[in-house]
Parts: sequence; structure tokens; C-alpha cells
Amino acid sequence: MKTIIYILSVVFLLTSCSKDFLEIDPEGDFNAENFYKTEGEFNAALTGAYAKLQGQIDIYFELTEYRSDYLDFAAPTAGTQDRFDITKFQDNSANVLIRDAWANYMNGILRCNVITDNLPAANLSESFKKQIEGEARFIRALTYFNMVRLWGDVPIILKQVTPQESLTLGRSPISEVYKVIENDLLFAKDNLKLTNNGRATSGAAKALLGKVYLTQKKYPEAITVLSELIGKYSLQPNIADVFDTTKKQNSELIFSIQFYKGISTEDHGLWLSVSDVTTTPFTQKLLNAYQLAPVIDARKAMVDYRLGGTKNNIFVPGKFYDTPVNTTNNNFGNDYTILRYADVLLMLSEALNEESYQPAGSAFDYLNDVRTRSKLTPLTPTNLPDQASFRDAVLHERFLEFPFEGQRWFDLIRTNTATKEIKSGKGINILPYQLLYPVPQTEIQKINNPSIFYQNEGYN
Amino acid sequence: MKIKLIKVRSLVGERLLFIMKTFIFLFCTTVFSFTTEKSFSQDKIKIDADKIVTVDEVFNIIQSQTNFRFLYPDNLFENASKVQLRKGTIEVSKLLERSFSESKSNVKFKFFEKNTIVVEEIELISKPKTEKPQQPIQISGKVTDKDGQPIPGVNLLEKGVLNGTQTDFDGKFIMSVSNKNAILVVSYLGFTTQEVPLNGQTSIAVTLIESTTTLSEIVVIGYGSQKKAKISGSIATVSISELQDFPVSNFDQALAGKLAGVQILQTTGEPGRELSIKVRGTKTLTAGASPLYVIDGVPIETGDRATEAVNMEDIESIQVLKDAASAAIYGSRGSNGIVIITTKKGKNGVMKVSLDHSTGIQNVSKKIDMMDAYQYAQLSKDGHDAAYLQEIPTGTADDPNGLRPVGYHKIPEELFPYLNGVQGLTNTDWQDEIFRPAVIQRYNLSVSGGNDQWNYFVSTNHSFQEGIVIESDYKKTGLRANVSINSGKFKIGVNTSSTYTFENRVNASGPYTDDGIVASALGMSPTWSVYKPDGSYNFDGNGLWRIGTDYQHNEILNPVAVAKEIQNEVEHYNVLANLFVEYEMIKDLKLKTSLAANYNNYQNEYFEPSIIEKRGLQNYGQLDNNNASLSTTTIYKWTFENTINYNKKVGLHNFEILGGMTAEKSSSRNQRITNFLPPSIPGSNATQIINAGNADIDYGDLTDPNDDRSIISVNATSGLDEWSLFSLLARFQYDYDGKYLLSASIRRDGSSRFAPNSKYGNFPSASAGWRISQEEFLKNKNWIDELKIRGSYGVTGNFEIPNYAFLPLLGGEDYLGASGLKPNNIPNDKLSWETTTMYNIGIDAELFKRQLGFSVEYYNGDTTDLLLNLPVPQTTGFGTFLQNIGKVNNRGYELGLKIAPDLGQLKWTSNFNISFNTNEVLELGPEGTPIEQIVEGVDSAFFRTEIGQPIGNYYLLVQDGVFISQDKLNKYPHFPNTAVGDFRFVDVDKDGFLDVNKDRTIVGNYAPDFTYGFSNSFKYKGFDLNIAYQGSHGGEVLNLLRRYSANSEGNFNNTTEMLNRYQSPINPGDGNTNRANRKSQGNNSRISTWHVEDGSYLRLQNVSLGYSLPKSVLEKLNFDKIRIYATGNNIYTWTRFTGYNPEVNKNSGTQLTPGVDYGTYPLATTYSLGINLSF
Repeated sequence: MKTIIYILSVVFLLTSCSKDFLEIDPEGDFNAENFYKTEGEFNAALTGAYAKLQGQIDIYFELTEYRSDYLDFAAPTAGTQDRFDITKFQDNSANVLIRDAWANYMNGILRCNVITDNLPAANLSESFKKQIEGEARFIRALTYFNMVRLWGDVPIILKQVTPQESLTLGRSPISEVYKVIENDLLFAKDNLKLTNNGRATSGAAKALLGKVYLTQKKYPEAITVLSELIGKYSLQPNIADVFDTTKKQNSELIFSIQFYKGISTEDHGLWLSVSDVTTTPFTQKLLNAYQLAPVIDARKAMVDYRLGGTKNNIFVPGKFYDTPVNTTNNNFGNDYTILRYADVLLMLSEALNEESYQPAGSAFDYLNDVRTRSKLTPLTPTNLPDQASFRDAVLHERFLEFPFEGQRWFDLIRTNTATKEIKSGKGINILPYQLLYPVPQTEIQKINNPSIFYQNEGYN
Repeated sequence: MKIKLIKVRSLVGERLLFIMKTFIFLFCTTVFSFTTEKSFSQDKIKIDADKIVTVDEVFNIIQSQTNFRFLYPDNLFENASKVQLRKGTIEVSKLLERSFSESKSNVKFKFFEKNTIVVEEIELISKPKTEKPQQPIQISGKVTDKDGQPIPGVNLLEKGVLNGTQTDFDGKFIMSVSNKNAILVVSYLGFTTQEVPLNGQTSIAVTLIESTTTLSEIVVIGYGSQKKAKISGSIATVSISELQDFPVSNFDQALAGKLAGVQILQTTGEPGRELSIKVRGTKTLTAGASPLYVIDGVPIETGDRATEAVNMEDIESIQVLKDAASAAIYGSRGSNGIVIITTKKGKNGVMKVSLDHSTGIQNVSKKIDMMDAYQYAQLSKDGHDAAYLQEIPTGTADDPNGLRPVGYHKIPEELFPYLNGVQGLTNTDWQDEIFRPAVIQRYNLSVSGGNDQWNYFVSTNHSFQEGIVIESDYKKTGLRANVSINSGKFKIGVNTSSTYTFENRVNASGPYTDDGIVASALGMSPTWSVYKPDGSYNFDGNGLWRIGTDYQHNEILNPVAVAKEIQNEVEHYNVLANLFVEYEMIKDLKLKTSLAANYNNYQNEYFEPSIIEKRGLQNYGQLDNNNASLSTTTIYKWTFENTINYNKKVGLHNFEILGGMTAEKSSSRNQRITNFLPPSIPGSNATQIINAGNADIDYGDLTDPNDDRSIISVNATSGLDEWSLFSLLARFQYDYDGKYLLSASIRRDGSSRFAPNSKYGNFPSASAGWRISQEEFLKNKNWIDELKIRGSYGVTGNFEIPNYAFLPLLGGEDYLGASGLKPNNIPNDKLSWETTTMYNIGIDAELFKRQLGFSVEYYNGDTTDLLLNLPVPQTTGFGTFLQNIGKVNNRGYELGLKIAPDLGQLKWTSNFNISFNTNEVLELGPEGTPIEQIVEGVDSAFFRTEIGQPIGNYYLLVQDGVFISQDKLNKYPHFPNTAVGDFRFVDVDKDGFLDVNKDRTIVGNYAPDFTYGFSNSFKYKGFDLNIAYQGSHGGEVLNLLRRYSANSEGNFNNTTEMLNRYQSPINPGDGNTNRANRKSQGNNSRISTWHVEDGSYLRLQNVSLGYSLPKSVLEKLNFDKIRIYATGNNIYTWTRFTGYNPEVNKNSGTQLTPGVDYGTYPLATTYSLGINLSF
């Protein structure tokens, strides 16, 4: 009997020990429950938020460049049906690229929100906190800005939400989304450093804020904030220098998503490269747009295909031509520009003209700065006698300046010229509802509450 | 009658001499179970009414109520007076005493250790001698089983005379018989009693044959064992004889088709790969679906670690616990069934040595009929022509390349000689280049023996198996030592096995895009040679037809080069050791402590030399880097178990109570280093490459892209994964007279994998059985030997969920070399196991002297709390959230039939089993949203799991022939760009339009409607013949390889099926096969039923013919057994499936997308010769 009691007591003893025995920390992974405390941890979280931007390059290509009058292609091949549908304005709410873009942005916002959620409780210096918060909010603002332009009303998520909460979160009106974006950028503008090797800066915040104002047609505010950048950056003497991989972080770049070919996970896959120059996806409108005489528009070379790759056996648009350094790997390290000084100049020019056409104003100077850099003659009030012609000229200049930089589709929406330009570029008559993308059907199904989470008009 | 001097050996080894006239032995059947009846003298016998009976009848009563058997000469109590019995209960000893005193007072009996009763007839001095004593004849002999193993303790009686003896440890005996023609009655429990006429011989050899009765068969049920007759759950067993003669490296392959309700799938023919075992259907969507293996009591969660740890010849028995009630004793690991493997232990007797060897030759079981170079050239031309005419309608098929504007309109120049019919050109059969006849050899040596104090079984085995794909092989070497020691109340045992395997792997599975050798060989143009004239590999398939003029022939790497030049070696050390101590504290109460460790170490060395180009035209003709990786995975798991077991027999009531606690912990570590060096630095193995890269890491200037040093190539990762499980368990078993059976158990599991709010789970079970055949009203029906009905109900779990899934984990993601971390998942503080609740009813019967047996079962089980990555709004940051939600039902019938007609010398046994399982999803998340997935990055290869359907259906367009005329095309809905010769698809939603999304429907499922097995064994004199079939019916396979091999585009080689393609209105082909067109339109290339095939098959799994030398020869040679045999494995498969193997399942780890063939290592057909020796 004694033995039984002994054994039973051993069993109970072991039972009571089992609580600790069953608690195993994931040693191989970081556990968020005890993370977000030190500067290093916040820096790592912020790096994670930046890293998300690398994957968003694809969204710029698929959802804005292929949508625009730059790119077109005749027939889908295996795996490109969704891209084809977007290109041809045949997309629907089941389009996987649209769905993935939504998911990608929302995940990016989460990565910013974990930072802003955890910062207040962290025992760290205020200056550090402001810097981290500013960068996170810049990334969040950039993400929301893309979302609001692609889908219109979107859910405003400024903190981590549980699955239960998420079912009650609907889409907020565009105006409220812009308020959030402005708030984030104002904070970033006031709290970030002026320069910060490739990361978000107050300059980047200002440039983006300027674009946000411009998009909302808040011209005076745009002019104010963009003007603060004049002289702080400068145009590269040659357009090719902007993208040259040996001239990263040059004085024209305000914010770009960075890549690095020396590390296998940090390079990228040859944007728009083709194996056969007869099968490029460029529209004739783009190919024919550049002035060839009396001088050749320097930007033509940014669009033209060159033999590229380390083995010179693929064709790459000049803008993404990477000087071969690695003799074995065909990896490319071109950065992807989001904001650059030429953009600021053209935005400012646009905003000034929208405020009022000034034949002798600086709007002409800014426009011509960009033109003359690419060997074109300056435009004068003779060429552009009124606000409307000036407006067209700025838009056209942007067309020439920013192919594949994720600007064009947004420019067309902002200037309300998409219908006309798509028609002239691809021969497609688009309908007004197609200025916005459908919200992914999967999201509508998941929330299953059309009063708060509805489809955009025209889609089902 | 004369007093005889007889040697009797008690089980404690003491030699006792008795003087007696005769004796009776009483045996308790549990002598051979793991718990011996220590003393039965207090067992009670129930007398149901007052009666007067003979002594023989008294013995019958004792026999019927206690399972004791009496063996005694017919006439011992011939003249004894009858015994008067009163209603009530009485102890066995008292009953015997009374019987003897009343009937034959000169008989005394004594209880000895271990169930032995010695009965002495006391010499009555006064008895007058009426006969002259006969001169006794001394004879000797040996008793062995059919394997030649000596059997100690066998009873030998001279028929009609009260005279007998027992065999000693060596199975030998010496006895005196009354005359030279006496007949010996040789009996031993579990064996058929034989009568052996001496016919004048003084030395005889007796071979006892195991009795076919399965009543006394012991079934291991987890933390204990039970007589098969008393089982009321559902347990499938495989007899060891069915596992012999399989020329396979691991035992699991030999199980296929043997077990009702257990689907054993050989999804790949790669040597050494474990099989996928599924018990009673798919019960999970995302968690693990493999059964738990229990080897000599040690739970092992992973198939490869279990199958490699046990050598086939070392297996004593395999049982599969199928119903939830049986598996519930393993609690949260029981849902997928339990495979219990028991290894051999030494038996009492002299040292016995067994040696087995077989050598076989393997060949690929099937080749796919591919086009030859001339047929391919024509297909390719037709494809390019069609693409040209489609875009340039004014052209003609005779236009030269010069007139054709685009690369894919043109015909590769190299094809012109073929098209012009020039003979003798390169015509490579790429399948012949990658397959080969391959050798398989197996060696096994075991030594075993023992006595009452200890027994041992030690064995070593070695097998070498070449793969039928060139450059692949598998070597395995194992050692086992099972030793146990009995000392008083203690029993101490050690079971250890250590296994070392070495594999050369090749990348045989997977599509050509992953350089899968088989898919590459099928797709490669037969116009390419394997080698160039200078002996180097020919890589023209990797882009020659895309450089310059892009004919758009897809780039494929030379599969021979991939197989031969890439080194991929895997070493695996597997040590499984188990130490237990059993202590009999008081009578019938045993404590057992066991400590087990399982250590696994995997080493992988991968080296890809620079001559293996990267696939792709931009790499054509270019050396690649030398790529290398070294990785190590170490998995260590310990198990600590303490159980207490109490057996009690009160009258006819039998109780067994088990209680226990167990703790287990597993940790898995891995490290992986990769590096590459440019081709300018040659290397010959992975270590060189790693070390060269590691020598002096200089990251240089990260921001200077011209700084070569900044290329970071050495990459290292590591991981650590741990889990723990703590459990309490209890089981109560009861039966009344072996007639009414009851069993109940409960296990409580706590696991580190479960979230804090659901850390512990309870898994109860209950089962009951009624052996109707034991009832009086059936006892006289002598054509019914056994009839049992049984039912069970139980709850089990599936804890194969990720280790830390309930926690908010962070994952790494770098940006420009800076380490970043990001949230990886939404935490779930309720995450827990999946629960299966299943009931099972069954009938078992054995009829006509056990010549016919059958077993029928029905089961029905719901698995709830399915672990599902449930879609959640992306506003959470993620698209899915891992939750326990969802429900799936599995129900089905299993039928087993055994025929063993008694044909005298010819022993014939046939077993047939068939299993039907229906799988149905009942709930999927709160909204019941179907789960749709695509596989392998093929954006139209959809799978759908929805309520009311089985898990993982193919959800595709329905292809229904081709349009053979414009007229037919116009009359039927079609895609806008569909032309004559293209596929006709069914307008599923009947809206008059085809839509690639709306017209998809469920078109099949990998799960079969039923599976069956049929095995036959014949023995005649020294010959034995085994024939086994297995089959599966009603499953479909999604053969994605047909995207390439049956695409009619001319950019890949195609199967000869495509010779039946539509060519012209006058030559429309078979009406089902589409025209050639490089730029295929009309959604021909979209995944549809064109790619779905019937996966039903019947396979002649194994035929073996053996011959054992007769005893007479063996004795001269001093051998117990010499058997030679020839065997064929996987001999023929009847199927309509066009791929290699209808069991293929590329994504066998996931349940939502099963049944994909995207290139697979084919199965081998093996013929072997072998020999079994023992002495």
C-alpha cells in the first residue's frame, strides 16, 4: 500500500510539474509577446516595414503601368490572364493581382501599426521614438495613398485588429482616408531627419504630402509644401544618371525602394525584360512619343531595350539597365524610384498652373528644367498660351519622364484624363467606374456586410 | 502399470524427479502472454446446478470456465467413480481435491510453480500384480516448429497408455514406450495436436504446426495486450508470414493491401522513401494525416523514423488500431490511427541462428509511350504551322521560315531532316537514358535464445538497393538487441535498434521547371543526343531553339546530366532505445517504468557543379556557379512512462485495470549552410565549396556595386523546434467468462502545442463485445467456431499542428542587408487539437472448423475542430487565421474474408479484404465558404473543398472531345478563340456561354471509392506459394504532366496518344485529341478534365514460390531450416492511368490538394531469389 501511495504521489508531483513542462518558448523564432522593447527591436520592425515595399514594386507594374497607356499586349499566355484583364480593362473582383495587392498593402500597414502600437509603452528616448514613428507613418501614408487611389474608400486601420474586430471594420470615405494620410505625413515631415540614406526623410514626407494635396486639388497647400523642397535636391545632369546603379542615392532621388544585387534576396527580377525585342509590351503611343529631331529626347533611351543581363542575352529597358558586375548571376539591383526631384518640379508646375496660369511664372521654369535636362527646347507662353495647354503640357511631360515609375495611371486619374488617354493609347473605351479597381471579392465575402464593406460601383 | 522414472522440468529450471505412474499437466493459456498466471488454485468454478458427473466432465467444466486445458489419457479415470457436484462456486484446487478423493483416492496432486499440476497415483502396495511388466523401449527425438525452432515443454504421451514426458530446452526428449509401434500424442498449446506412429523407429523428429485458431492470439493494444478473442474495438493485424519474401528495404511496402481500412500508398518508387499510410480516410484538412507509430511501446510520430528503425525480419507483429475506441488510449495522437509494431524477443531454448539473403533485379514497371524523333518533328511542324496560319491567315503551311514573321511561326532547322524522312538521325529515347535495371540485395542475421532468467534477440541487417533511375541508391544497415532479464519480482528489458542509411538521391519528381529528371526526360525532344560528339553533355535542350530565332521550345535541362552530376547524399542515423523495469509488487499488480530515447540525425550534402547550367535560355551554354549546401537535422525525443497494471479474476469475472502517466519531449534542430563559387574556381564536393567561401568573408563595400567582394554567398540558417506532451491514462477491461466483453479508457493529454486556454484534452472511449459462440445455445452448433459482435465509441485527437502556432511569431525579412522582423501570423489563444469521435460496430465469425472466417465492420466518425486557416479580412494584416473550426465525416464498411479449407497436406489460405470509405465535409468555418486552391503555380489547376463533398476535389473545366467541324463549333458554346480541332468544353452552368470560372465544376477526387486486397498462400510438403493482389477503385489523378506531354503544341515531346490528334476535316483523329498548335487557343492548355485520369488499378503485388528442404535432409546438415525462394514484386498493374503510378500523390503532405502527378519516380518491378537458413 505504501508503494501505491508513493507512486500516486510521484504521479501527482509530475502532474503539478507539467505546467512548466508544457510551456515551451519558440527558441527558433522571435515571439512578439516579449518583443518591441529595445531600439534594435524597433529598428528591426521598421526594417520589416521597409522590406514590404520591395514586394510592392509588382503592384506598381501590374495595377498601374499595365493599366496605363504605356503597356499593352495582345494575348494572355500561361500565367498572365489576370495581367491581361487589367491591361484590357476586363478585370473583375476575382482578379488575383488585385486581391494580392490589397493583401500586400494591408500587411504592410500592419507592419507599421505594430510599431506605432508598441512605441508608446517602450522605455526609449523621445527622439528615437519620433524618428521610428515618423518613418513608420510615412510608409503607412504611402501605402494608404496608393490604396485610396486604386480603390477609393478603404478601411482605416491604425492599430492591430483581431479577426473578430476586423469583421466590423468597413470602408471609410476617401476624404477620411486622406485625413489619415495627411496626419501621418505631417508628423513625418516634422519629425524625420532631412537625409537618411535611402529611408524616409522629412523631404520625402514633404514631397509625398505635396502629391497628396495635389491629388485632392489642394493647390495652395501643395505649393507651400513642395516649395520647401526647391533647392534641397537637384536634377541629375543626365536622365540616365538617375537610374544608374553606380549612382544610387543621387541628389535627384527623394525616396526610392531599394534593391541590392549582391545579396540574393535583395535583388529583383529584371522588370519588363524580354527575350525577343519583337515581343515588347510597349504601346506605340509610348514608342512614338519621344522627339527624335532635331535632337533626340534623352528619355527615349530609358524606354528603349538594350541587350542586358550579365550574359548579354536578354533585353532590358534602358531605365532598368544594370551594369553587369556579377559574372555569374543575372540579378539586378536597380532601385525603384517613388519620389524624385523631377516629379516635385512637375507637381509644383502643375499646382501653380492650377492656381492660376502665369505666362512668366515659375511654373514654366520648373517644367522647362525637366525638359531641358533631356535636351528638349524650353516651352514658352507662345507654345502654351493658356492654362489648359499648360496643363496638357505638364501631363505630357510626365508621360515622357516617368514611364514604368508607377506614376502614369495615377496622373491620369488625378487629371481626369484617363478616358481620353487610354483611348488614344490602347484604343479602349473605358467607363468611368473603371477609374477605380474592384475591391477583392474575397474580402467582401469574408466581411459579408455590404452596408459597411461594399463593392465599388460598376463591379460585382 | 509400472512406476516410471520421469523427468519433469519446472519453469524455474530446477530438475525435479517424481516417482509416479502418470501425470496430468494443466496449462493456463496465458503462459504465452506477457503476464503469466501465477497461481490459479484460487480461481473459482461455478457449478450451475446440482449434478453427478464423471471426473472427465469435471475437467471439462474447469476447462470451459477457466481456459485451462487438461491433457490426459482417455482412460485414466475410466474406472473412477462419479463425482457429486453442488450448485455454487468452488475453488479449482478444492474441486480437484474433491473429485479425486471421491473418485480415485490413490491420486494426489500438487500445485507447482507456473501453472503446473503434478498428479501422482500412489502405488498401492496391496495391489496384486496381474500383468507381467512389458519391456519398455527407450526412444528419443526432437520437437520443432515449422521454422525448425525447438519447442521446449511439449507434452508427449503414449496413446492408450498412461505414460509421457516433456521436451527439454532444446526441444529434445527421451521416453520409454510400451512397444515399438506405439503412437505418440504430441501436444503443445497453440499448436495442432499430432499423433505420431513410431513404426519401429527409436528416434523421431516431430514438427508441430501452429494451430490456425486465432483465439489465443495476443494482440498488442497499447500499454498492454489482450487476447484477440476479447477485443471489442477494431484492430487490424498482419501476420508475420505475410511479410516475408518482399524484396523491399522497409517493411511498410509489404503491408499494402493486407489490412482492411488501411490504405498504404506508394506514391514514389524512390528507394528508401516511406509510404503514406491512411487509416479510414482523411480526417484532417491541414494537420498531419499520418498514423502514430508505436514501436515496442515507444510512440514515434514520423513515418520514416519508424519504418527505418525496424527491420522487416525483426518484426514479431504489426497491429493497426483503427477505431477511435482502440486509439483513444493514445489520446491526442489517435485520430489518424495507431500502427503498433512489436519486435521479436528471444525464446527459451538453445541459441538459434537465422540467416536470410535475397538478391533481386528491379526494372521500371512501366514506360510511357512517347513519340520518336520523326513523330515529334511532325508534331512540332504542325504546331508552328498552326501558330503561323492563326496569325497570318493568308499564309500556307508550305511557306518557308523566311516568310514567317515571328519566331514561333518558324520550324527549327534541325527538324527539317526528320521531316524530309532522312533515316538514321539521332532518335533518343530519353526514358531509356534515365532508367536502368537495378540491383537490390538484402542480408539479415539474427541470433536468439534464452532461458528462464533471461532471453535475447540480436540481429543485424544490411540492404542495398539501387534505384531504377540512374544514380539513385539506398543503403541501410541496422543492428538490434532485445534483451530481457527476469529476476524474482523484477523484469528488466532493453530494446535497442540503431540504423544507418545512406542515400544517393536524384531529383526525379517534380516538373521540368524544377529540373525533375523524369519530367525532363519525357518532355525533351528525342532529336537531341545525350552527349555531344566530344563526350560532353548536350545542353541544346536548354535554349538552342530560343537563341537567335525564338522558336519557343521550352528550355529543358539534360536529365542525364542532372542525375549524374548533381550529388545529393543523405545520411540518416536512427537510434531507438528503450529500457523498462517491471516490478510485481503484489500478486497481479505490476508496476512498469520505461524510458525511451529516439535520436535521429540527418546529414545532407548537396553539390551542383558548374557544368549544370541554370535552366533558361539566358543561361544556355553558360557555366553556372558551383552550388553547395550542407545541412544537418537532429531530432531527439525522450519518452518516460509509468504504468500500473492489475489483473484480477474472480470466478468467471476477469478484470484488468491500467493506470499511467507519460511524459514526452521532442526537440529538433537544424542547420544549413549554402555557398556558391564561380565556375572559375572548380570544386568537387560541397564541403570544398563551403570552406572556400568561408575562408575569409569580406563583405567589401556594400554600397559599391562594383566591389566584387560585396557578393555575400555564404548563407547559414538554423532552427529549433520543440514540443512536449504530458498525459495521464487509465483503462478498465472486464469480461465475464470470455463471453461478455467490456472495455473503457480515458486519456488526458496536455501539450505544449496547445494554446494556454486549451492546454488539456480528455479522450474517453468505451467498447463492448458479445461472443455469442460461447453461449450454450450455440456451443453445440459445431459449425460455428467463433461468433462475436462488438461495438465501440471513442474520442481521439490530432495534435499534428504546428509547434508554436498559437503564439504571435515574428519572421525575418531583410532590407538591404539589415535584418528586419515582421509579424508572421495572428495569434490564437484557443488553438488546439482536432477531435475525432467515432463509433464502430462489427461482427467476427469463424465457421466450419475455422475453414471460413469473415469480419464485417461499419464505422462512422466525425472529426471536429478541424484546424483551418480560415479566411479573415485582410484588415488584420493577414488573409487567414489558424482556427479550430470545421467538421468532416468519414464512414465506411470493411469486409474481411478468410478461406482456409482443410485439404490435408495442401495448406491453402486466402484472405480477401475490401474497404469502402466515404469522406464528407460537414462544416467549413462560420460561413461555410469553400476552400479553393491552385497547385504548383499552375493558375488553372484548381482544387475545391466544400460542404457536402469529400476533401480536395479537382474543380475544373470539363473537356468533352474536340470540334471536328466548323458546323459543330457553331452549334455549341465555345470560347471566342476556339477553332476547329480545339477542345469542346461543357457549358456547365448552361447559360450558353463558356466562362473559365463559371463553367468549372467538381470533376474528381483522389480518394478511391473502395480499396481491396487479395492474398493467397498455398503450402504443399516443402513448397510454398504466395500470391497477393491489391487494388483501388474510383479515385482520380490530376496528371499535370499532361500539360507538357499531351499539350499538342510541339514544344515538348508528347505521348503517342497525340498521334490521334485532329489534323484536318478528313483526318479528324479520335475526336477527343486536339490539333497541334504552338500558340494553343480555345483554352486547350487550361487545366481541365483532359488532365484528370481514372486512378483505379489492380496490382499483382507479389508472387513468391519457396521450397523448404525436408527434415531428413536438414538433420543430416544440422540445420533447422533451409528454404530457397523466388519472388516477384509489383509484377503487373492493370489500370487506365497513363502515367507511371496511379498511387502518385505529389503533395502527400497536404490534404486539400491530393492526387497530383507532376513528374514522379516510377515504381520498380522486382524479381529476386532468396534463401532462409536457420540452425
